[in-house]
Amino acid sequence: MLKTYLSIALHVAVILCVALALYATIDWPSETALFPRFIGIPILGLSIVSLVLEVRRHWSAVSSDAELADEEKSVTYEQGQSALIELAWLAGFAVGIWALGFYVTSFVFLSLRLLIQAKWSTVSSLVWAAFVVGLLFGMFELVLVTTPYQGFIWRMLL
Amino acid sequence: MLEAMATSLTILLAPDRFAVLIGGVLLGAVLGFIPGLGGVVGVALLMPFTLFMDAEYALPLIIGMIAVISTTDTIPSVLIGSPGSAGSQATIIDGYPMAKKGEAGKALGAAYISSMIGGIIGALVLTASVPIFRPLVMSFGIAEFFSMGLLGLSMVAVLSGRSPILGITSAGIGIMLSLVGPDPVNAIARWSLGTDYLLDRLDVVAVALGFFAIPEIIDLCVRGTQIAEKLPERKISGMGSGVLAALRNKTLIVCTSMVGALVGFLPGMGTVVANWLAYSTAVMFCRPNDQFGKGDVRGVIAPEGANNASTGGDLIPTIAFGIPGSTVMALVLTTLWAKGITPGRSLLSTNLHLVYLMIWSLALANIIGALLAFTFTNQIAKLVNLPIKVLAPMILLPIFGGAILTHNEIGDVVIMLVFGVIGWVMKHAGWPRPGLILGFVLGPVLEKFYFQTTMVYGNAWLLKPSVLAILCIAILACVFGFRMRPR
Repeated sequence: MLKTYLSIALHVAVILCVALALYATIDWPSETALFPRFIGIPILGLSIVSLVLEVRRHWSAVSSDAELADEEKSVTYEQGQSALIELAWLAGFAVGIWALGFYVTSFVFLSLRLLIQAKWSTVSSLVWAAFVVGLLFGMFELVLVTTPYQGFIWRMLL
Repeated sequence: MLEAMATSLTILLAPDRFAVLIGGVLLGAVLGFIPGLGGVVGVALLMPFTLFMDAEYALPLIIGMIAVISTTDTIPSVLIGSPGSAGSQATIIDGYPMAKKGEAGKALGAAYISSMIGGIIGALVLTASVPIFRPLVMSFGIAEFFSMGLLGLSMVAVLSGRSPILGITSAGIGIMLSLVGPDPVNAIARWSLGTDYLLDRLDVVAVALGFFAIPEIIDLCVRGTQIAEKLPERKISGMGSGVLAALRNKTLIVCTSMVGALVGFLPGMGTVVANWLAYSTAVMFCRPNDQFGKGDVRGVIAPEGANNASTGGDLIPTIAFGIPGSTVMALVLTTLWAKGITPGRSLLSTNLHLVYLMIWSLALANIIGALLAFTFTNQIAKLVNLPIKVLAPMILLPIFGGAILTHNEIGDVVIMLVFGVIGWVMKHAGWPRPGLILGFVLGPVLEKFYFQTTMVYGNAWLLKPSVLAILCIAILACVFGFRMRPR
């Protein structure tokens, strides 16, 4: 059922966002608003039609084999939970980059992932993470001649 | 034209550029092998790095990578019955039974040689198309280019999903997202939510990485411990017999490669349709006692020639009209724009050598990719044992690095994550994603052409015969797409 709920939630989110986006065009000059309205109004209409079709399809086929077969291919709640955990890791990585910069966070992120998820030993995780970050450092600093985001803590200190 | 061909070959054969091409081929070989990752993730991953290179380095890197994915994605299809990318699904039907009969080497040998020939045929079709499309493109004005944009978008939107309405909606959302930031006429900020970051528009690299790479990585992590549970038991040998089998069916390779190139040319079709259509073509000409579906080598030869050839066909609308036929080509198009290269008139006149550079890269990458695959099949097959929990975080580092590299702004990472979540939800809610990124890439161009067209012609642009013809094709494509959609 998660697939249907996801689809309905996405429809509602799209309808709300497009409606708000179109509402924001009210104060714009006509040249500025012309193309966004040219695209936005049909998209709002299509999203509403699609939502109605989705809800109808769900209600009419809720007990049929076709629906069940379709739902079998859908993501399960357990997979959804695992995806949320992965996303939390990624969000942590992003916060780390903001605070500590790309290189330090990459080292911490990779060593923690290898240690906690891949069950590597502490030494192997640290050595491998240092090696990979060293490669990235070489690629960014020596080949591409650029320094990725340094993080606000380093910026304050430097 | 011949001079441009010779110049581009000289450029490509310079040691540093040739090394970059081989780098792209190696990356493509690995990405093709890992189910879930493919051309889209690969181009999204390379895009930020190519911003720091000249076009003469960036194009061989990207084209080399794309060209080889369709060669090595055969290995998991044959060995473990799981496609390395969507473009090798049909290969499983006969490739996997062959492997179960102990003929994995024969299947892979036949697949590699067909892929190589298919790739070269794709490059030849692309070469032949340049003198055909060049005068047509030169005769096009802004109204025609705007109509072509609508045609490409409508076809891709309609053909890319189970529901045409969702496909068109996705494309429309992509266009609206591309309009965030200053408008081209009055420079008034649109939907910037009062932030400085959004005044500079959404970064296409962050959007593409988030939209395509992040959902695939999350799913890779969620899915399991390693690429496949079933491991190839013995060393793969006997590829020579596969080569001979492929050479005995050279007519089939040529025919299916032509089918692949033609399918690639049509927006929204791509390698998946090429792969299946070529397989159907091979089955259509079979005799009653043939072994299709039970391990017939022709069931491997036909789809493998076609999926490599389709890349050449896919490049034609991208280069000639600036209309990407697939998501991969949308990202290639973005890379071209980022390098200051405008497809269409400019690329086919002042930068013609870059077109031939892409063609040479495509042909050479297919040859190098096939040779590499022949030599290192056993080593590549061992990647099956690679634990996802080790692989995934290592792929994530260049993804995050790439996102932040473009502007060195933390906002790009946030945007990547936001679009990663949206992409994951869309993927699992059954919404087609290609339309959104195509809309996002084409949005600003369409708006520019729309303004220019209405300023120059008013509403009379709709009555131009060439525009009418293109819009009729767009409507027909929508109607056929709607009727042919998978139910």
